[in-house]
Amino acid sequence: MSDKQCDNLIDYFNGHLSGEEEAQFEDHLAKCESCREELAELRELTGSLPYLSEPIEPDSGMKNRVLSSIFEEEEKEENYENVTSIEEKQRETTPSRSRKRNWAVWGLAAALAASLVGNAAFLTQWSGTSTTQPEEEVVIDSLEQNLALQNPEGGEAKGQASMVGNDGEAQLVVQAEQLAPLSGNEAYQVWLLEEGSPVRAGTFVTNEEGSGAVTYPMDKLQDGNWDTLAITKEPGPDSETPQGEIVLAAEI
Amino acid sequence: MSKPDEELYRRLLHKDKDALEQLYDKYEKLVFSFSYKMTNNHGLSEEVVQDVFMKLWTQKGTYDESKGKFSSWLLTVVRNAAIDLMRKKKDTPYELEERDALQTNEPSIEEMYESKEEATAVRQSMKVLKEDQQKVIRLFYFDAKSHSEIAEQLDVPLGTVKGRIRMALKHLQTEMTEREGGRGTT
Repeated sequence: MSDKQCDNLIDYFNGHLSGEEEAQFEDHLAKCESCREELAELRELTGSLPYLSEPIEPDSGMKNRVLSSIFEEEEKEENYENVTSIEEKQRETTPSRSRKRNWAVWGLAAALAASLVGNAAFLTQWSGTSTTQPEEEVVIDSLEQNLALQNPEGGEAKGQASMVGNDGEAQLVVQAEQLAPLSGNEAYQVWLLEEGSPVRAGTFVTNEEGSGAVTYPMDKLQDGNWDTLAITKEPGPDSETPQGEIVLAAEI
Repeated sequence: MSKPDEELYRRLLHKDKDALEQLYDKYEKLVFSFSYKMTNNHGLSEEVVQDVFMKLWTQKGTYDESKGKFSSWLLTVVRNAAIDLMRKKKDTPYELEERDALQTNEPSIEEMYESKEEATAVRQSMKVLKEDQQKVIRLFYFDAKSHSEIAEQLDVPLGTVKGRIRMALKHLQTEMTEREGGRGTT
């Protein structure tokens, strides 16, 4: 049986196996040291071969065609991509659970899928500066954007995130209440996500009533097209990537 | 010295369009020429280029430094994209173009390859190989034929295909090592 699998190495390398065969071969690969060695050797020995390619001039204007279609596609799909591709990714990664990076958006998307499409038209961009025009009801002069935070799984907890302009400096203000109590070193962490990549945007702990708040200067962050704000409960105040469950979130 | 490719890739993860453009400018000709070497078709090669840079941008292919040099990783992505596209187009045959018609205005090797010495060494070494070993490498690597197709085209038993491929690649490597190793001492 395993000998037979070893014969699939060439077809694996050259993409001739069906999805199922490929998965079977990868299982085999995990067990068969000699196949792993052979594969590594093939990769190493073929590393220089692309340099045998004779230089060929592309048709003129290729750069423009390629880049503009990539960027256009991106804009076109921005509003829908979160829903469809995330579900696909979720399917792909559920069994392995090894890749954590995009966890937040995947979880969120499932929960928010229904509301996402409806909200898409209202999505505005937060950039790191305060140039965004007020689009919603203005409560105080400098309030630029206001988001209601909810637990995607449902629950009591709620909160609010606001972007407040202050002499050209933008501050993110997050308030939350009815959060679960923290113990030990735990802290609540605010994240801004762009395409599933989270960056830290403020850390806070709650009072006895389960309320907490934090402000975060946006100029500390690089410009980004943030699409999601999420709050997680972290084991400590300095997680570089989210470790805990999402307790509150909103699409931006 | 910093690692410019890796740096650009990191910026690209933050949706920095300028970073994608810089990587594009740097690798356009190599990616296109390699795609062409595999597909023998201009239109398909452009599709490969499009596909590869789209994958970079949408992060469907993710690179990290444990995977070795960025350029090596990129070329693996290119080869896989070319294989995928060739398979998809199998049912609607595409034209294999005549190489001779395309030689005008081609970029120079110097312009295309960052590691010029590696490029020169592999080219010279390939010429030293006997025709049948060159054919093995072409069928296996550039044409990405299946195990049985390779056996058929070489007219050898299935069981000997892996050995033939390995021998040809090893021979090429030995020749390359001599050339690269000899450089500087002469």
